[in-house]
Amino acid sequence: MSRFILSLRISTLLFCFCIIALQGYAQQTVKGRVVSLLDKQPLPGVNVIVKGTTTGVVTDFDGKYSLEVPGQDAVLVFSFIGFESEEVPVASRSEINISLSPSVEELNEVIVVGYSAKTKQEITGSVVNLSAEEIKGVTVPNLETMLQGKVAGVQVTSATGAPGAAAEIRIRGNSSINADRGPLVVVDGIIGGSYNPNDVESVTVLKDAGAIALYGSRANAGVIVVTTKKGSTEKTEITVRSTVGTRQITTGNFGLMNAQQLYDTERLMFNSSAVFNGIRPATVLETDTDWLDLAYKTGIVQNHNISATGSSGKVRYYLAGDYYDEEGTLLSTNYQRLNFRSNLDFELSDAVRLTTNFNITRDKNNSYHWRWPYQPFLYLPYDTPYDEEGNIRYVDANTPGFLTRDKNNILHSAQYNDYATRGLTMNGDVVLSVDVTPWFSLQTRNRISYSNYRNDTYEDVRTIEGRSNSGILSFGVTEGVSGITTNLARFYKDFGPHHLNGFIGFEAQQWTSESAGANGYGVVSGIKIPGGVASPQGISGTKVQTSAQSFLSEVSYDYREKYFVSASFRRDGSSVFGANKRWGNFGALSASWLISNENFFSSLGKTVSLLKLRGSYGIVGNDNIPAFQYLALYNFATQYNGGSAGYPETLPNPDLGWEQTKAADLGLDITLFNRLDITVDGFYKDTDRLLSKVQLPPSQGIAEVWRNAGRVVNQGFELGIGGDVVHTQNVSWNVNFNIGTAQNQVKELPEGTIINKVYDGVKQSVRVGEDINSWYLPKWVGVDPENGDPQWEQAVTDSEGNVVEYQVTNQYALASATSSLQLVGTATPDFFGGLNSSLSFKGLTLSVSSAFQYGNLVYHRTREFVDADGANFNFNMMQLADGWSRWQNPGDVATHPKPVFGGNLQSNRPSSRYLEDGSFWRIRNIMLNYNLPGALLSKVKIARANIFISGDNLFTFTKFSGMDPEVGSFGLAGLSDFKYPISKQYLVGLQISF
Amino acid sequence: MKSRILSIAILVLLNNACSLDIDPFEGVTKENLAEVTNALEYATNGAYSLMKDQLPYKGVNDFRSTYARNLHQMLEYPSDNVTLSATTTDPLFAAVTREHFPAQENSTYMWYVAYKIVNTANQNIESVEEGISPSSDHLLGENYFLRAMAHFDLLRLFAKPYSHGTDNPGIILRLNSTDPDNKARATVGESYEQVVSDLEKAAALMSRANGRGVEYASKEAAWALLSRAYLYMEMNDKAIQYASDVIESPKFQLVPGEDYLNSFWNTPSSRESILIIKHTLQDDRGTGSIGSMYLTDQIGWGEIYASEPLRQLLGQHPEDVRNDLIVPQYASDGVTVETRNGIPKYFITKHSYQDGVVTLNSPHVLRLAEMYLNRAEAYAKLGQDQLALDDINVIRQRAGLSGDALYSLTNLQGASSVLGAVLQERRLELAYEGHRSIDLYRNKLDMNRNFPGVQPQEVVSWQSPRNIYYIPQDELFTNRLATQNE
Repeated sequence: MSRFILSLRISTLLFCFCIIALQGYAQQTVKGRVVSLLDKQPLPGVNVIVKGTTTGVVTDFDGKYSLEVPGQDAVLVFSFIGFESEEVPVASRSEINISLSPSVEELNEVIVVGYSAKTKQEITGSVVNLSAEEIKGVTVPNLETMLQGKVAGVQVTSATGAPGAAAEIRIRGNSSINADRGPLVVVDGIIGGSYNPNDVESVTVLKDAGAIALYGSRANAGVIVVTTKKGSTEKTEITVRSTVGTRQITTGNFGLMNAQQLYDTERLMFNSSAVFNGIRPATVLETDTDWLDLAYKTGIVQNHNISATGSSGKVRYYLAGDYYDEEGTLLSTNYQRLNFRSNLDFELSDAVRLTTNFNITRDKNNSYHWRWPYQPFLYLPYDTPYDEEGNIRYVDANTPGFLTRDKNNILHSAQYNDYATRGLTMNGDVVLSVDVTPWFSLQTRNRISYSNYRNDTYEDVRTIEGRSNSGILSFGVTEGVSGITTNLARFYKDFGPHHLNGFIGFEAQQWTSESAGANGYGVVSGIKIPGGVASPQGISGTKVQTSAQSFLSEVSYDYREKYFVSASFRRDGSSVFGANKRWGNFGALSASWLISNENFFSSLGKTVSLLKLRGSYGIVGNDNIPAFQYLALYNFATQYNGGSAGYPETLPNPDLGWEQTKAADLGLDITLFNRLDITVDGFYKDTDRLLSKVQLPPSQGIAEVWRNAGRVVNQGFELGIGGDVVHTQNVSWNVNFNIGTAQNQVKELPEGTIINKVYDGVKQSVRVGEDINSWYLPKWVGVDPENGDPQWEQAVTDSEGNVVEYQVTNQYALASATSSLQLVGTATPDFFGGLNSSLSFKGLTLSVSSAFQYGNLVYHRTREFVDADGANFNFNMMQLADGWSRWQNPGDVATHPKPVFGGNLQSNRPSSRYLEDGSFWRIRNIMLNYNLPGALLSKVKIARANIFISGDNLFTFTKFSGMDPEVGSFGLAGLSDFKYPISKQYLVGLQISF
Repeated sequence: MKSRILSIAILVLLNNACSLDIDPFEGVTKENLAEVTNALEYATNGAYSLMKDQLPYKGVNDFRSTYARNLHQMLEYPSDNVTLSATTTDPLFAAVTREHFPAQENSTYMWYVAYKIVNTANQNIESVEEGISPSSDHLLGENYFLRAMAHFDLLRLFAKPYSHGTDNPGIILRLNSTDPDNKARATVGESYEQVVSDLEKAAALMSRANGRGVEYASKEAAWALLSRAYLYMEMNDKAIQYASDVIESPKFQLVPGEDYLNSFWNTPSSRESILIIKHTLQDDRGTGSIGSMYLTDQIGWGEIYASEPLRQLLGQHPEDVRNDLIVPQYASDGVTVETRNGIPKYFITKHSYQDGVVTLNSPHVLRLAEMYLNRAEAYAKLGQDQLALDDINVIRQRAGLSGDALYSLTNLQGASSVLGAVLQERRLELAYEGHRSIDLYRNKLDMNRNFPGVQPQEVVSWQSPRNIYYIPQDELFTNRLATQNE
């Protein structure tokens, strides 16, 4: 107390001094102390700003502050995380002491969960909300990549490093086999839509049935609700943000041999040095080309964004333009995108609000020939892409002295050939809300979307691709138009301690997609238009239209803000299915108990600010199959003798219907000390009537049909912990950790069905009782120390064909017989998650975001080519990874068989030899940000400015021998093949607001 | 208020716009087939196109296989007419060596596409009622023909000859598109009965007036295939009758010797063609064509050549026009025949050069010469030897032979019986057309494959189980009632 009085005295003294000193400027100094209303303890780190300006300070460790205000009209705003903000007019006071009350604001923080917005305490489902601040970090053109490692139970995979490529995202595992897909994206409350990640205000990930059931038939893989920025009610602010950096491929633990290393390894493949010297004269060592270095260069990435937000009368606006330009690392590849967004909110009257959102995106992508990404890994270092004058040369099968098995030179083709795509997407939203009575309102949300994609391939007559046809040109155009309308009637009513709210609604949607394309031969060099084609070849095109109708409703009830119950119901009709099965019913029941609002809990209120137990059960669906699979359709896409011709492609299946997931979730939300949030969830998802591509007897004349067959269960556990570990005036340290598991098991399959997923001989088998992504391969048992032979297990069967034991064999044919194949692991990780942290000292913030995955097996297919023990002679080889060894002499205990010219007993054929631990921990982004001091900026009329340096994908910790343990599920989940490698990026950026 | 009206208006509008009953844009349902103009014709064309299209199987494209190519290779390559000069990863290798396996890609493709033709024909037949119009009936008749033809091709590849016993397992007869997945194989006897009954129905439905040309099935094509089926069934009177019906038809005549090569190169304009699988320029399969394996002329693999025994047989009469189908590849000295792995490169041009395009050809399904040979064999089996020799002499004379080179009861040109003479002439005339193996085995004759080539050097017994192919593994996986060949 005495300290308080002392400081008061000093303040008074200072105040008098200031009045004397600054009277001429009509300025005055205000000081004071901020304490917590609950315990009267000082609050350090509280923001104190002069309202409407950028002038402000932060309270010190004792909760004290002091600042200059422009005059007696000034209003001070005190704000602090977890506390209610207070506004205090200064008047003539020189000292303002204040007690802040703990915030119910945070509990009342509104989270957009799709059809409605709810407060944090109202939410009964498993929902994670991220602010724009929380998703920023890596510089990429898509939001999905930014979400990696940020949300428990959400797995994001950047499978390729190609410019502009999207990431794959999975929420709570894969529940479908053939109809698997990513989550449903909802932009600004309407299903679908497009947006620029820089315009995102917040992202809400809906995970359990309680939250997603309202999206019914399309929600089985979870929902991502994206809300874009809105105009602010305060004065206009213009923000400019620029980021520029370089990108370079990262090849992880993977290294190719140089000429000498390859030469020394190849020598081991021959018994006779005379034969070796004949095939590889020592002159090959005169050339040592690093093909990877020639094909993959450093690229520049840049992103410039300008936005304006503010209001004028009854209109609030947010306008933003964004330019993203990513130079590919590979040859001529690049990606450019221009985006414009206009979000306008009109207050037409007290009861009527209109919102119009418009987004337009133009993107251009220079892609590549399929050969380009992998070929640099195969070229021999003995070969050179240059002729004697040092010019890039043409290479084909007749080029003398070119030793690599594939006779081509991608550097040559890249000079002339184009593989381009261009896209234009536009979304226009109109949302009209009418408050009919204080407790009843109507809303209609509508969107028209248009997209146009065009691809152009031009293969010049000078290149190996175009030469035989005197130049090739092809193009295709796809145009998509869709419309959706959602119409809701809402009510909100309190009956004493009972709160009731909800809505009923109707939704209708239609998509139309049309494509057309053609190709031709005989193109004059440089004439890249279809009219220049001498000999037209094929013409193709498609048209698909689907539509959907839905009735939806939700009722939420709570009693004294302690007990919450919510029920939702949705009835969906889709033209994808036949009349018999067109309509499906979906819904969920969820409930939560806000224990911390109970009277008996109030004594714990200081420590545990929030304690909520919640649970949900519901049914959602999946309709992710091509349209009209229920019909026996003749496709008239062929010709016979020049006349129209077509044949049936499907068998009629009027009973084809929704795939259905019954999902249950139990969760606990805890907030400690008002600054540490813990969320725990357990889930169980039972998906039956799986939309499966069932193989028919070929004697039906139709190889595969879609049927509802099979059942899969996913279950898992999720934990998220986040909050401020340290929060003082100058230093704050925030840590966020999340971890999730999602294990699946096939429970039923149609009688006698074995679904094999095969990629060029590499197999996964879907079997009852096993994981969907189970590797099913010959089992590798190592190298025979006696002779260096490869060894696998071979099944020994009894007379009835049952496997009685396994014995070791060096014969691949025996090991790869169907009876010998074994389940040798799964591509599903044991757990995955992220660790993100930021440390601030004054204006300086260092943030790190990382993602990890553990316990999955990756099939490293690249090794079939470059770690093949001589089977792929005339391809380059990878260097032995740490701990690997090559058999050379009898008695050697080695990981790699004896290298033999032409291959050692098919040792490089698919087997568990190439299955590797795919666990990794990747530092996705490290960013150092500096907020320039406000005092400095206000002199140049800048409200805020910050500069940052940032690094993406700088470190990856993994045992995986390949370029990247992160692999997508294209073809087969967990298959690591040659790919366009991802990049490390180093960036600098500047953001200024005025 | 205005806005309320607006939102109701939008609701009503979109409700109507988003009807859930959408008709597909890319095709026609079976139910609509009868209503759409010319749809039955196009759907029937579809069944023919299946014979030349390269279809994906289980979502995977196969850029080698067509029905026409696989049928040809699986029938002809195991014979003693041709020889493969080196190993290849193409499953045609299994056809040459007879080292079959249940998952063999070419037999799986063949099985699948044959039944795809059957399924198409079934759905076409189910979509249209009989008796609506003569032209509609004609198209129906084509579909019965196509179903019979596909079933018959399956019988030739996957079932033992009729003459080996009618109780042997035949093929799965798919006669309805709504058939259950699980269905057992019919016997050989039942299978052939179905084939001839479909063909007789086809012949009855098709009228001469509505014939669409040699690219399509016709009344005569049905007769011709009936003559072959009855010959295989050794119902010789019927074989003679149907062969005669075709021979007497004014639509066809044997082309003179000087037009012989052209009648194979340009089958669409040959007077001898009864039914061909039409390949237009768009359908040029390049190195995936039938001709590509037999000939390198700028393009083509050229890995399979005329066998030594066949060349020796033809060589007895150098004036025989059928020698002209064989083109030796000479070294630069112009005399030495080049070799591949020690095997002389005698290219075969029977499946090339349509409109001058090297790899383009429309192979025969049926041609007139076979009718003479069918009738001759039936006569021989009925003991009407002179009539038999008369028929094969027609073929021989057309090939440019005369006088002592013709067959007579006293000079069977090296054959030991009249039937032997008929089969010898049949071999010469129908070489590289997929007849040889079946002609021997159904007549319970062995085949001597001791000649230069990569095939096992052996005499193949007519009873060998590998004279036919395994039922594809995929069928056994998915059809519990299907049984495997021995």
